[in-house]
Amino acid sequence: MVTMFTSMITIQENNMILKGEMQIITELEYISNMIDDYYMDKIGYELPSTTEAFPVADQNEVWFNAKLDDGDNNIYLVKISTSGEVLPYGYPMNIVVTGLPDVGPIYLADNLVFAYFDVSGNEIDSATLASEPGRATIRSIQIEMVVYQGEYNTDTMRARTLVFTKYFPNLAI
Amino acid sequence: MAYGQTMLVLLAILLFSTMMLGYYNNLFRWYDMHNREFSRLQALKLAESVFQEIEFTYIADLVSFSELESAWSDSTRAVPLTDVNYTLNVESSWCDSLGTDTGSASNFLRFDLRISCYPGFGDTIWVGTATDPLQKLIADMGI
Repeated sequence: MVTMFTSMITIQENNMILKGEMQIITELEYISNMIDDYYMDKIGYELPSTTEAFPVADQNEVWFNAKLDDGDNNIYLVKISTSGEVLPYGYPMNIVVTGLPDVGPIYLADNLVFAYFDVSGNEIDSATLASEPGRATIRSIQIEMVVYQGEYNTDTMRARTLVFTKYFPNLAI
Repeated sequence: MAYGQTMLVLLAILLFSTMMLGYYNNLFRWYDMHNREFSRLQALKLAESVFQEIEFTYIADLVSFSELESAWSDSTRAVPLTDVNYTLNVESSWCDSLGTDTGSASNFLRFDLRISCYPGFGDTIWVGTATDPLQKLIADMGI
């Protein structure tokens, strides 16, 4: 009887882990598609030459001016960032559009990591990104995102890392 | 304990063991499925980035339309990510507007992409195969 009860508890625990695995994949897909296909999709499209495409381009934070919805001609300043670890939840990712919170906080297992590349595919260093002419050379961004499920515990939690890249052809025309 | 009772207990143990074996068998299958699902998602993200890169190099005028064909005629690259190596193979072909091979230079290029990875156990995962690759069609826009 004891064995049976122990087994039943183990089964429940495993089911929870499996459910978490499913949620991790769903979340990774949802968040990456949201950034890729919505917020970053129109970067550079009909952007006035006087407006900087990327006012900030740091390792854990990116700001960009872009149109968002079809038919909406406004240019929005979008900020995607993660800040420091907040116990016991993780690293909060926030998306702010023209000063107003749009999405978040979504707690990740680690900071978002942005890497920036020029037209030739060479990574742009942080010193170059600190200046406006340096940021004007950005033509693609690689984003690394770590999502976890269950209790936030860096030793035991299950987490998965997804890497995706967004190119900005409108900035190259 | 009577003979009948002993048989019942043995039968119960047998049934329980069978159930547990079946359960763990399914559990490992589910874990395997989730790992594969994640690898497929990552592979699709890589596929999307390669197709974007192809389009970008053409739109940014880094290569001409004919150079685009030779640059990706048979390109293989390895992308190591989170303990799994992804191998991407792209082949370009001249084609018509429906994607059918023309065999000679035309106004359309088709890119066939297949990605393979080995997540450390089981079989190699393929996203796009030689017979059914992921495809992208680009038209000559006169850039």
